[in-house]
Amino acid sequence: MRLAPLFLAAMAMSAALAASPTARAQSQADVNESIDQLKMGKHSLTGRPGATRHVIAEAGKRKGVFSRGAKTERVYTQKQPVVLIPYTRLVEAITLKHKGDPFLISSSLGDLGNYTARALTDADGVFHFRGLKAGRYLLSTTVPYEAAVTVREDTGRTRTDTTLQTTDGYNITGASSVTSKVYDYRKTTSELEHRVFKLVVVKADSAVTELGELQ
Amino acid sequence: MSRVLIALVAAVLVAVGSCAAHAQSTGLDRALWDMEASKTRECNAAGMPRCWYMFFASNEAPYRQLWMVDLKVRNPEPKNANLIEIDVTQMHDGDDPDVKGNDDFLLYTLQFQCKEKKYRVADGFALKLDGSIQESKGATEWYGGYEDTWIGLAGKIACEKKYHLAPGDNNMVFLGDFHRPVDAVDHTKAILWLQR
Repeated sequence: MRLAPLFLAAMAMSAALAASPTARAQSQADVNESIDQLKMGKHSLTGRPGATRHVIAEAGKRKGVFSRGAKTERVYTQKQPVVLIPYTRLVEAITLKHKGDPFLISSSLGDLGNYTARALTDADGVFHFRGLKAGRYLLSTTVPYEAAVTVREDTGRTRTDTTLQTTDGYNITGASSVTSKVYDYRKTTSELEHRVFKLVVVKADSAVTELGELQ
Repeated sequence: MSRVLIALVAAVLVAVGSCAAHAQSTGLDRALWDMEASKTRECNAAGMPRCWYMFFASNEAPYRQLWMVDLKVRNPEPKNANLIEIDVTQMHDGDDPDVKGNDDFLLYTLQFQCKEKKYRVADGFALKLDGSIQESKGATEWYGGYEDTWIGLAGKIACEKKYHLAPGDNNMVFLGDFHRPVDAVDHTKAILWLQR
């Protein structure tokens, strides 16, 4: 007798964990839509994803010292994977739901993430996709780069500043102290990663769609 | 009764936990990891859309040719286990004047009658070096007597269990799980044929 409610609760939990038949059918239809969009087409897509950083002085690369001023430079990476996800109706819905957040979108794609076009960047950081169908795709890649950073290290020491109050410059009438940690600041380089995640369109009226520089 | 309850709660927690763990790595992330790990890891057929392996090669640069097979074979007729369908790509290094076609690469969808050792080309296309595509014109007739060619090796890979269990022990090299054959070709060219 007491097992019956437990069984019903377990069944309800199983039903909640499993996708509804409607959702499954929709997902399968969307997978088929992705597969169809990834069939061999006549179009190509190129672009050059990069990251912008403050210039690291040549002489300072060894010592961790950087050029003065606010000059910036573009950095590119070779042999970096670039992924195109067909922008199907479900992918569009996921993108809108998560307001373009790449991490939330990626974690919601499920099996759709398996049906992608992939390329590697060449020595100049440029990717070339061949055999694409015209249409919309989500482009995802990362640009790893070295950047100038300032590291704050706790020395374990403290510093106390005391302020004395006097009435005539000779007789101390009061005192207040502030104790704070002592830090060392060191300039160095750090390995960072810039994520490029954007909607791109492969044009139907052009053999090659050139995206140019990608931020 | 309490043991049943504990077991049920544990099962539910495991189910919820596995869902949460799966959500941490998306298919997209896995696709990126797969590319980076493809040199060190064999194909996990259950979790990958494709399992491309290099299995045959000929000629020297600049006219090299390389054949890749997708180990995720299919049964076009579910009730006929003797009929196996498999995708093979034949990629060309350059425009070999001794070879007709000027192909960049070809994709063959081959069907094998394993017991009878017969094959046919069920579908496919050729990407020409000028970028144009030539589609196949439907399935060909059934052919036999191909054992000593790359098609013979593809037939063994399609039909014989040992090639699926241990491709590495049978002179096959894992390339990746690219859904599009053209991506498998371009990655292989970028990594192996550096002059491109």
